[in-house]
Amino acid sequence: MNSTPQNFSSLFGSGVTLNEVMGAVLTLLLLLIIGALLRNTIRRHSGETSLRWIINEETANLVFWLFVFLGLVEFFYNLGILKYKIMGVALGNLLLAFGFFYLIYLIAKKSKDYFLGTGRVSPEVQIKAKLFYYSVLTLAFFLALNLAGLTGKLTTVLAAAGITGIVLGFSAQTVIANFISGIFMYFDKPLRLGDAVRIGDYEGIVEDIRILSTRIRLWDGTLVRIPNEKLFNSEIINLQKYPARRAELNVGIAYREDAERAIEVIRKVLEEEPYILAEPEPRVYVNELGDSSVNLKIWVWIPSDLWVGQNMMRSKYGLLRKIKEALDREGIEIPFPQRVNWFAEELRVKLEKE
Amino acid sequence: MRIFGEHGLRTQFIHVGEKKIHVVENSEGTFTYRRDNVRVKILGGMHLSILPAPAKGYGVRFLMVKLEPSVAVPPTSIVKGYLEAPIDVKVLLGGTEIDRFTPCREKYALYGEDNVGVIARYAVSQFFSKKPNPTCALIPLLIKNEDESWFHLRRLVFPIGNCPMFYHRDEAYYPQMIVHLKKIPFIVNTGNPPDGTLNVVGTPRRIVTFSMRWL
Repeated sequence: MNSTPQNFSSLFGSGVTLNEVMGAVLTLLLLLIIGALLRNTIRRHSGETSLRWIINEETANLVFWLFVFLGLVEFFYNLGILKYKIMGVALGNLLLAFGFFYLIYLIAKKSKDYFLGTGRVSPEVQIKAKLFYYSVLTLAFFLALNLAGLTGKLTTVLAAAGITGIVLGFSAQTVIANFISGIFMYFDKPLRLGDAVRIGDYEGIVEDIRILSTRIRLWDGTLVRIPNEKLFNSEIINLQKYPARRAELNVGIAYREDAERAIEVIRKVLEEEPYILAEPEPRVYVNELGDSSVNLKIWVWIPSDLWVGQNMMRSKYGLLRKIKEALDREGIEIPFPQRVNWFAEELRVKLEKE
Repeated sequence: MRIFGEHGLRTQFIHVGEKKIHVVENSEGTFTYRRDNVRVKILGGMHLSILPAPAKGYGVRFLMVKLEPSVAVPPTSIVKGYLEAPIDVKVLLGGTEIDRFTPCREKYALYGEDNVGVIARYAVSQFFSKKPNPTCALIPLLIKNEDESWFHLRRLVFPIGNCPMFYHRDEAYYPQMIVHLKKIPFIVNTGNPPDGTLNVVGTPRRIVTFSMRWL
């Protein structure tokens, strides 16, 4: 009966006894049972909790697979297969740390996606989801280092990372500038998710603010990615920061028309238009005596969200059409540019006979 | 003529303020609902409901009523009255909304400052001591001047977001509003009907208060 340990030795290398194999199997089974129990518990509670973003079917499965992975690594480690060392760290520990980090990353990512995937979420929720995601990843990273037994070497790693950082810094200035700008933008808050903005030639809705870039959904449905460094140095016009905006329109009338009557006609149109705010009151006045027309300026206050993008159809363009129609109805001429030419000497015109 | 409440499905015109609803019975036994450019083909059912709703318009939560003429309230007095106000109207099949429109004049105003104000639905009304025949809807009002001096009221701003509404045949009412006149007046939307005989839309008794920082 002495042959059994020798058999295991021949199978798994020297020094592995039956007891150790039994222990490894038991550990594997124990971890599988704990994983299954946890999976069932999470599944059971997922239907009755308000924390479905973290306690759900997918998380339950991932937790189970985490324990399966831990069990397998432990099993092979106990059998001596994963005890080989790479740079002074056991292969089993490295695998354990990597697998642990990867599965925690999956859980964090799925939770974040669950947060962001449930319809239209508010900017605050989006920021919270991202904060949760990065916090869990940071925590998991340090736990994984600990599992790998690298905690003691962390100082060395950080020092190496510092030197590497300097080297990388020179070669990746743009990336770092974007990253730093992204951090400044977060605190400066010149724009928020969902704001209508104009940045250079681009105008649209802020779709996402990321670490390196910001995405703007333009009115025509295309997406533009602006590096944070460029954005930080740009003039950002936030079109919806305040509840109302003043809009300016210009209308020219012919010199022979009664300007006061034209102003009255335009005022009436403004009064009937729902989205032109009654308070602050709209103003219409003669702004300029132009080359071809008496130019009237119209100042109206309008809800900010109705003076952007597609809403312009019913606000600005609809208003201009109504003003034109009203002036036409009242017989008030909107002239086209005209020029009267005087000739110093009498013009001689020669008529050809047919 | 009855406007609000349930209407049996048959060919008919229903006038709601400045708007006209037309229900037409089709040859195959279905119905078509028409209002301005809205068309809905109704494939079954017996009734449609026309109900008053708070004047949210394009999505506001406040109603500003400019008092014309303005009102002077004596010190430590309680005044009861009414204001005329706009409403929205919703058309339902069962519990499903198939149309929503504004039967009276639609206008908005900025209440407050340019940078911290709020967009409110806007209307002009005089103060009625007795119930008038409204063109749209009525706000039952109780003004309590809790100050030792006269108060000059030029406008009132009511919180109306998702508040219950009340109706009887062709009359629509906002909940009873109480205006407390102090240094900073505040307005209470009691969520209660002005009297117990009215039908209710929504959940009554939802009290909302609003301080009028800008007079």
